[in-house]
Amino acid sequence: MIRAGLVIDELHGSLYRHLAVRADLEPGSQQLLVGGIGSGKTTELLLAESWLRSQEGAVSLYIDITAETDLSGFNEGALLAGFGRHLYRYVLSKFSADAGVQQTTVKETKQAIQEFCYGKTETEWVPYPDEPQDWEPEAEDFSDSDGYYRTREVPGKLKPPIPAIRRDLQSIGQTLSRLLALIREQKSDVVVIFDGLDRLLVPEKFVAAIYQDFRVLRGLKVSVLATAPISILYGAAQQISEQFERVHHIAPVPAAEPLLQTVLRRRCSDLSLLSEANVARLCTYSGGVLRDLITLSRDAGEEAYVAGANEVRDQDVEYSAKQLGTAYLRGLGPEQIAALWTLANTRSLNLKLPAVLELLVTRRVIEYSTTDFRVHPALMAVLPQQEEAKSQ
Amino acid sequence: MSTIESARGLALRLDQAVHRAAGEIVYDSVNSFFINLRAYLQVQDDTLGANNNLFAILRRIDDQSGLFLTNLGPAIDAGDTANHFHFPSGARLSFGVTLRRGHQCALVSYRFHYVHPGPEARFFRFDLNPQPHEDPLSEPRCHLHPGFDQVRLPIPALSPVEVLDRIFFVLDEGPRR
Amino acid sequence: MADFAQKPAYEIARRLEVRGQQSYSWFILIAPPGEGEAGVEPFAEELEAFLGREPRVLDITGFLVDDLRSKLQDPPDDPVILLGFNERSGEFWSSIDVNRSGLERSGGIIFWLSAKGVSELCTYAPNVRSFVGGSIFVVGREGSEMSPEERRGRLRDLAAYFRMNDDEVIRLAEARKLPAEPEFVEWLVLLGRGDLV
Repeated sequence: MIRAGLVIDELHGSLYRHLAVRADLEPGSQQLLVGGIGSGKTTELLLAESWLRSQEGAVSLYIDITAETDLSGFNEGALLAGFGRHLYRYVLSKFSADAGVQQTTVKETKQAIQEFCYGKTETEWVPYPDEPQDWEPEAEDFSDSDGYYRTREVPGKLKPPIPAIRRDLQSIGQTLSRLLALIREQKSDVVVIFDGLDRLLVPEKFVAAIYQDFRVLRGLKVSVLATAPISILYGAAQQISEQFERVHHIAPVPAAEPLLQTVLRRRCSDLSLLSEANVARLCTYSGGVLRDLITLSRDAGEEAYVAGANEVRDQDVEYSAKQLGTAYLRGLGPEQIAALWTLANTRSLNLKLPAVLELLVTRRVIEYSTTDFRVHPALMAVLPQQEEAKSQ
Repeated sequence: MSTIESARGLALRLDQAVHRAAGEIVYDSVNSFFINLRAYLQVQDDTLGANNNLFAILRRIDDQSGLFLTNLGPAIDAGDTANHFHFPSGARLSFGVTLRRGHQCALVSYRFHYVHPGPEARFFRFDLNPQPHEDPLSEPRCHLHPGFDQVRLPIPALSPVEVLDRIFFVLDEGPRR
Repeated sequence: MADFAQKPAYEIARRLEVRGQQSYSWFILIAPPGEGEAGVEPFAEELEAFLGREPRVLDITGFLVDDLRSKLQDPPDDPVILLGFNERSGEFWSSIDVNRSGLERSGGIIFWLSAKGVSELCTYAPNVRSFVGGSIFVVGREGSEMSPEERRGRLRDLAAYFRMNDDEVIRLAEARKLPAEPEFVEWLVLLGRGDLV
């Protein structure tokens, strides 16, 4: 979509350029990109990657880590494993034709990275305890009077969650260091961009996934750009932010902002199908959440087409807004509905309450700044009165 | 030299072959026939940009005797109605198809009535009678009315979709998207 | 309280066709109350009629997310209807949410859920909900059955054109003397006397 010119790169004030420049100039720096669901984080990261690619001396690796492994379990080392895979592939593509040290390094690091990612089978010596045993050793054991060998499977980091295992990231750090040295000999530095970490909605899960891996990456002087859940900006989770050089917040674009309308017009292949008034209404209903703007427009257009209309009508816009609002409404309890009405009527929101913070995390509440919160407009249009909600 | 008797004899042979062929037109289920017919018409409608409301105008009856009737438009075409399939060319279509439920659902009969645009309202009607007639020269089992109710010209045992293919791709002259 | 649009299976299938077979679309379909998964097969038939390709119906009962990811990518381009979401925990939905990228595929995915399942998805899987957007429908009734009034209207038209009444048609049918035209088959079906055909 970036290549097709469908993206407006100045939508968030060149945020991608700030991210990329700092990552490039400060090797080992770590920056987080925080924003609600559908706010355009991935687009900013991809723009940053595109900018870095255009710079000499920068090697950028974009990784949607959630596409590569399941982060929903406790899985230290997964980020390093994903980084190692991508780094190896990059080095292989650059140095495989070279002779000498480079090729040797590539070959020698391959196995270490593969085992770290996907696991290995190890044989270990198990000495017998001093006391006499009740059992006879297995016939296939290569045993003698002092002990026996057994094989064990060491799971890799890129596998489904398993119970707690030994976590030794030091050895993979050394392997990665060798590959990084090859790149640095070419006067380049590496920036890794981790997308998808914002889906770990609970701050504790986010920290568990990144803590040790990011420490190793900092030690390796690899710059990191990563998405993070919006919940780390509030409450006790705020201290997480202090570990990073910068935490950038990507806020929704105000619905009245002309640039938002430009986003829609650029994506709409036939502008005659959408009146000015309906463009404005779609922007309003989206609350400035980019993904919602796109899906609202798509659904309105689809509804018009299925109905046999020649253009998107007012009722098609209302239909798509109601569908989106109903999706936001589903699953809300009376306490949350009450909190939303309080926000709508008094502009106050108690984010210390977990049920209320959940409203922000799940995009029912939109944060335009750290002090400006509003109920998502599509949800507001279908929000039942508190008495009605209690009776459901 | 052809006489009426020899003409009837030839017509009988032809009609018997058509009758056998019609018996081989079967469907897995009445439901899949209806669904696929509707999808066919919707795709044609989309391609023509015709904007017919297929969901409203395509109707069905599932009779307890085992017969399944699909209708679009009126039973008798006595002029334009909102329930016809309308072509951008100005033409209109109405039809009825009857199947019999079974392990394989058999085609019992159909009528497809296509009216050309214009003041003369010229029509073509494709009919499949439920049974062969004793005089297949004047009443072949599967026949085309070329604009006259009294004239029936024999045609092969076309399936409903094959009839619709002739209507959409041969008879109708309108532009396609 | 607001509810999702109710659309017949035919129209939902048509929406998928309009988006394109390789559209990466995700839909959520809510079974009508009391119907559970009974509507899946008719919907699958509608989808096949529009897409020209039989959808895969995948019951994910007992699957881990990793199993689901493997199944969805093999192949990655056919339409898939997912069942078996009853009794799934919030943790499961969160896991689906975290792994949304890994579940992406060019073929459409249709989640067949109960009303409760939709609420849980919207609560525990907000990224999935955002991706689905407003493509959430209650599967409505087929709706193409002819009403008694429609039948009566047709019978009036037939009687007027052929200048016969219903009793005459039945008598002729019983005597095997009905005219050959297909309209008379329809006449008998409209009268509920398809047994005479």
